[in-house]
Amino acid sequence: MNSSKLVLVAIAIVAVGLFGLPSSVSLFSGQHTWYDLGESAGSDVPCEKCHADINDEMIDADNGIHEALAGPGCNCHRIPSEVPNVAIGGYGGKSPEPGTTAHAAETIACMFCHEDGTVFPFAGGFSQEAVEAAAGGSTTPYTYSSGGIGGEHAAHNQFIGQAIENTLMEDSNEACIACHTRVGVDIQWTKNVGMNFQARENDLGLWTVSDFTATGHDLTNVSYPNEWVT
Amino acid sequence: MVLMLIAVVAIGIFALPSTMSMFGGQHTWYDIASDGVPCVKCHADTYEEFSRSEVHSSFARRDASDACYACHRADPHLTYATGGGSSATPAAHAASTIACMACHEFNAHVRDNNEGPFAHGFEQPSGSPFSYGGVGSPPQGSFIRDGNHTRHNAYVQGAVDSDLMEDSNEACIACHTTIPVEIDGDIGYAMHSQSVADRLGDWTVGPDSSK
Repeated sequence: MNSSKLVLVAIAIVAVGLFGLPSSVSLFSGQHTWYDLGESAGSDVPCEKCHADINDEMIDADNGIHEALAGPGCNCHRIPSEVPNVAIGGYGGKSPEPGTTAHAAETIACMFCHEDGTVFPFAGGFSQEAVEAAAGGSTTPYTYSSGGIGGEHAAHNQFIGQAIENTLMEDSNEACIACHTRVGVDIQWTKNVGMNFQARENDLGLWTVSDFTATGHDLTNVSYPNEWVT
Repeated sequence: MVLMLIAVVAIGIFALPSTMSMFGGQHTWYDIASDGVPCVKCHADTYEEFSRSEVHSSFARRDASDACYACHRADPHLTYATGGGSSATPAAHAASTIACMACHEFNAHVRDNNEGPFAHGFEQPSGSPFSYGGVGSPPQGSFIRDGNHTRHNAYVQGAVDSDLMEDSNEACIACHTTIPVEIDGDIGYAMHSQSVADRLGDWTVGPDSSK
């Protein structure tokens, strides 16, 4: 190989290096600079990095409650506890904790904060007995009535119980979310239409009216749009 | 590599806007300290009935949820969950099933002075906490004080005894709303009596003791 060919090969190598070396063999630049997990609450990973849409909902002017729980912490999904449910980095002299039930965030029951006896507003007024009876054998660890009593006349006991039984979301979150947030609902109601009862007259003309039941069925659809995405 | 990057970006365009929450809008709540939760969100059909009703429709001219609360939060002794604070101990969460007589008993007292006309003229049924007979001061326009001649006393008592609805609501609803009724009647078809003449020829007519 003569000297001119060596020069050309050297130029080619340098040219490739100009473009190739800055990212060398890592897939992304910035891939090797990490967030500090130990600066404040055990994680400075910004949840809104991926979940900015959810953070938009949280900080929107129309959001009626929980604004203070918006990112970066997404605090509902990282409830502080004696034994951390989620992994935390060491901070304030503490050692890192691996977490027990989740890594970064966990799905959470609304009643975790809003059952009886927490420092947050109690979403009570249900009958614990009626709720659990409607849950079809599913159980809830949360207290829905004050001191375990009351709520016998609450109109939504069965709604709560059957939300607990349903596995779409945690505990009764289906009911909480449907009523208290701006998600849309599409409900097919099957309602009774008539009343059946027995009226018996005895030999003295005295009547006994008994066995009241509801009969028949009528289908009605109720649809309410999502007030956030529309 | 280029194809892979395009694929990642393309997936992100569709997937990121809703990231991982189950519903869009799931993280924006109604302000229960001001406007509250709209009952019509789930109960629009009930509100539609209510709006067309010949009675009680004045409630429906209010805010929709207030219309619901007029009845389903009528009991002044019950508290309901409210926004803010941490000491609320509600007896019912959002709404209660309610006895018609809560508003329509004698001397009813309900929230916001919404008590209605006294549904008077019945004998007091046992097991009901409501006053059916207007005991005490004469009720408005009533000329039947104790209801002893009312044909529907047994009907009301049967409704109170039934646990299908609150108090005697079965009877109120069956008569006063447009729902149909189906009654299995067991009605007497003959009259038996026993007529006995004494030694002076005077007759005594009474119940047939053989029946």
